[in-house]
Amino acid sequence: MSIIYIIQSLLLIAGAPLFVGSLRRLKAVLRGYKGAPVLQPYYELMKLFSKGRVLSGNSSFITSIAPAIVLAASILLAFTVPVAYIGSDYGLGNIFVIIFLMAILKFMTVLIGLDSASAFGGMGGSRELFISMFAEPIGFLTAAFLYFEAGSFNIIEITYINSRGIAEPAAHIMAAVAFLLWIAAENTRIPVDNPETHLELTMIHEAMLLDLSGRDLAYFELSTYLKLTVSMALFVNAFIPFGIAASASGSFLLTAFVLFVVKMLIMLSMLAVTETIMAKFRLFRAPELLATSFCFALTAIAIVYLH
Amino acid sequence: MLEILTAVILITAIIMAGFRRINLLTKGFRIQSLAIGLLCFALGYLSGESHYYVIGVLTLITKTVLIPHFMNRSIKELSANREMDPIINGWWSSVIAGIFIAVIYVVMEGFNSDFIIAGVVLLVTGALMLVARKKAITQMTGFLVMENGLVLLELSMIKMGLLIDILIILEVLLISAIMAIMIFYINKVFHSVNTDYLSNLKD
Amino acid sequence: MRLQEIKDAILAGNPGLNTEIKNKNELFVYADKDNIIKITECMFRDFRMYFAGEFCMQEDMFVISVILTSRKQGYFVIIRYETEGELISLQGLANQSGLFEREIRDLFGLEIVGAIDNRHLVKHEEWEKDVYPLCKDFTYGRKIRNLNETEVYRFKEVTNGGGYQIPVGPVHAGIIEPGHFRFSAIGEPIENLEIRLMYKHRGIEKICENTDINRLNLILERVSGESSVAYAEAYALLIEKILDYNLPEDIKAVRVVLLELERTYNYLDDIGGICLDVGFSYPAKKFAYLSEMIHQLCERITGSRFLRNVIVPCGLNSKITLANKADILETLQMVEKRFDGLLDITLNAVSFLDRVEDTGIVENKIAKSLNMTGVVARASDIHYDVRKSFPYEIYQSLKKEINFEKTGGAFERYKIKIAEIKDAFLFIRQALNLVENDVNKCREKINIEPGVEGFSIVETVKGELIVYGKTGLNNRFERLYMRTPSFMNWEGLTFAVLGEIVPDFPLCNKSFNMSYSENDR
Repeated sequence: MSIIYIIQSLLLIAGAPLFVGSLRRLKAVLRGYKGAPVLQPYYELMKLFSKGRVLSGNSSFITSIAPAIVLAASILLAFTVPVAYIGSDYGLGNIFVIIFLMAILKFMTVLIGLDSASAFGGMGGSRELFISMFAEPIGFLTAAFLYFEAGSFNIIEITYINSRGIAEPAAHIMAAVAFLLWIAAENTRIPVDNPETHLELTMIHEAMLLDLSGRDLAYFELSTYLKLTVSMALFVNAFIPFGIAASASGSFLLTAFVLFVVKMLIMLSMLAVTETIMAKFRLFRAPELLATSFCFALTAIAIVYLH
Repeated sequence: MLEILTAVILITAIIMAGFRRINLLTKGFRIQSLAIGLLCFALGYLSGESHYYVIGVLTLITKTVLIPHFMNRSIKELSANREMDPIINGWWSSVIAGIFIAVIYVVMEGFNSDFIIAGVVLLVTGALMLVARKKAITQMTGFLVMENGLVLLELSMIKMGLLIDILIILEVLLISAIMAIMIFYINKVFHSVNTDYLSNLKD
Repeated sequence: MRLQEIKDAILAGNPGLNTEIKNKNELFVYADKDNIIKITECMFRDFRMYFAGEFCMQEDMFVISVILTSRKQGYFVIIRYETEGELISLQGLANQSGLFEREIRDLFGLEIVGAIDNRHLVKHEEWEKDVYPLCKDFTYGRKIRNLNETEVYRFKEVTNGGGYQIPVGPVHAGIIEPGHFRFSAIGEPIENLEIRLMYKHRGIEKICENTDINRLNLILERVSGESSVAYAEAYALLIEKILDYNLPEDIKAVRVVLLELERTYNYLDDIGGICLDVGFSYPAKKFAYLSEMIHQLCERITGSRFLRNVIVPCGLNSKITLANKADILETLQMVEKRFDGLLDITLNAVSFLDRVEDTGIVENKIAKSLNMTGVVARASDIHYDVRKSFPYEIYQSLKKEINFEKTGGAFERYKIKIAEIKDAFLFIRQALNLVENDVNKCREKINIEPGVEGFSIVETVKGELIVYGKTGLNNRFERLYMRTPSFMNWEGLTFAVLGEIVPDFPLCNKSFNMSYSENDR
């Protein structure tokens, strides 16, 4: 793998809390108050690293190893996604690697939720898997769509091909909309889950993390930020990849990088607007939303398969 | 441009097949008709023929202004504003709509104009809404979606007389007005627009 | 039926019974242990009274008083009996009387005869045994030890397969008041909910017995921070009723303005809370902003954000100038305009309506059987508002109609709170019309001779509040009892959540928004 890949993924890892901080700041501005500074997630992580760990008496070895596994999986995830530069070797970017790394994340999170032996962890785990049951087909269908459109299973190659031109814009838009709903479901955003709630009974993702403290919680928070950033980077690069740098020259790289940041900010604003103007759906109505998204993906595949 | 509009039309069709709230349905219908109207203008611009413009203007006037106005007036009287028990429930309607659409794309593989396929998609989705719902308002919206599909179909055919276009659109206008009035009266008599109650009338 | 007619009808049915009318709308009936059940039954059956509460006083013997109210005509009927150590249970006859009887047993040490539910209410398992705080022999200020071994408090459980218990609280993930909720859930739908409170029991009634009458309004305002003004008003009304004191019109108008301001900021917070709990953050923050505007207005005109220490018996403790009046009108206009805009957003948002419609329904039958009052009762088609039935200050001319809804769900409670806010704006403006000049501070020292008693009743933000006082020596009250609205209304929540899924519980709880601290006192 070329060195630029490694550098850009490291930048992605370092910048993930910054993206989340900007998202929170955008939401605050939309709602009319000042909000926390953009660097706040970094301060929170530093604070968590300096605190001690408290383990529940009922927990097993899972609670000791799961945070490290989760962090490792999300860091690896950051290395599979293209950011601004596409070289000639296509590195780690196989779609199935991405999908299964995310599955590892989810699996370990649910295990930790169950391991704490509190009622909320179990409830949060069951709800998370319930939503996943409806969201995973969408993920697979979108992957299939990308394959049919570009002819490859490697996300970096897909980005390169798509930056050359898109054959079927109608299908592309529909698959993009489907993928956006998938991002909302997998990363616990409104309308599927409320990431800012303080009520344990309504939590889906946070409920599984209620019993963690100190270093463990810091690992999980960082992996959540990374997962959101990686999902958005996937969207940006698979569906709106114009301006990607195909050669390693300085000016191309710079424009590609700036374009990437701009596209991410636009996506973050869209996310912020959606979170502000909508309420969270009832738990058992979320499948309706995800079924609609499934239908979009199916239509997109149908359109592109036959042309 | 054309592709984006086609995507919007398909998206609105799928959303209307799946969701139950009535004001979402009217909004979706409005957006869909707006997209079709813009599509007519784009086609007219690209091909330079004037009758596309006429269809576009007529569609915009009737389907984005007049018909939603009728629908809103009869909706205001309704006490319940969403479909309570549709015949095909919840997320199944979205999935079935999706499967139908995929099947349509497979069956109509030979046709190379996008709009025929989109038109048939709208026809089928509209028919799905007509059949699978109980409230008269959603059935009426299904009928209107089928009309949109017809307009798309005739857009993709090259020579269609202007007269026939105007006749079709006027017919749609009249039928919608009649249906809106009927819904108003159904609501007044039965205090609901659930068409199950209409079977009480026979005996 | 008028009060005199009731008295005659009772005497006709039970000859030889001692009755007395005090303070123009309180009828005291002196029964004894044997015929208390019969008389109470006859009250419910023949005269259609409502059970409002039951409390105990200690004189030579223990005196139990059962409070009944007539909502149509606006009077109280109090049935009293004396007892040495036994309390005749009205459970099964009067709704929710079990709560009152368990409280009397815990605080006074009487035994309940014929009880169905016999658990401790106030004293949690760690209290010392045989300690009865409200008895006269428990000295004021004595400290209580914590026990090391405790017995188990029995909750109702679901025992078949698939059901599990979720205990929530009293320490919550968010910073809210302490209360313990025990859910029995089968999957996600809630099968049963049991609420256990009294974590904030501060013994306020005992404190009231040891505070001078002129300073008591400060204590009463702190029973529940959300209803400070209403509690101060109830206390003022009680003293003025006992002394038969008449206030000038402009002070009455100012009191109404303050009461309605409190209603406004409370209901704005409530509505904002409902939006917040479903994740609809934009209106939630904006409603909170409007509520803050009202709080700042309250501080500008009286010096206290919660309007504390303003309403005192027989007077007013703060000066309201014409500049204040203009300030109020201007702020109200600004708030009202933005309020209408926000309402449109929430009532048209499909995702929000989807959550609150059809959630947390309390049927009319259940609301009636629990004797719920306030907004939550009016949402379930009970037409009762204290401001209309027992009009005080200038509400007789202001309040013409009662806002009610039929279904009793969270959305209906939301709509009623909106209607009450709009009413509040109207009442404030109408009341301010009666304030033509500056209203000066006027406060006098109060001295009441011992042995005088009376009841006062006020519509607080949560519902109907009844305060009873009997004066004693040294210008103090011998017994002050508060029948708070939350005490009766909390049970309604256990019925509202049946059949809902667990994630919808915070929404139901917030739509009720009952106060923990006024329940616990």
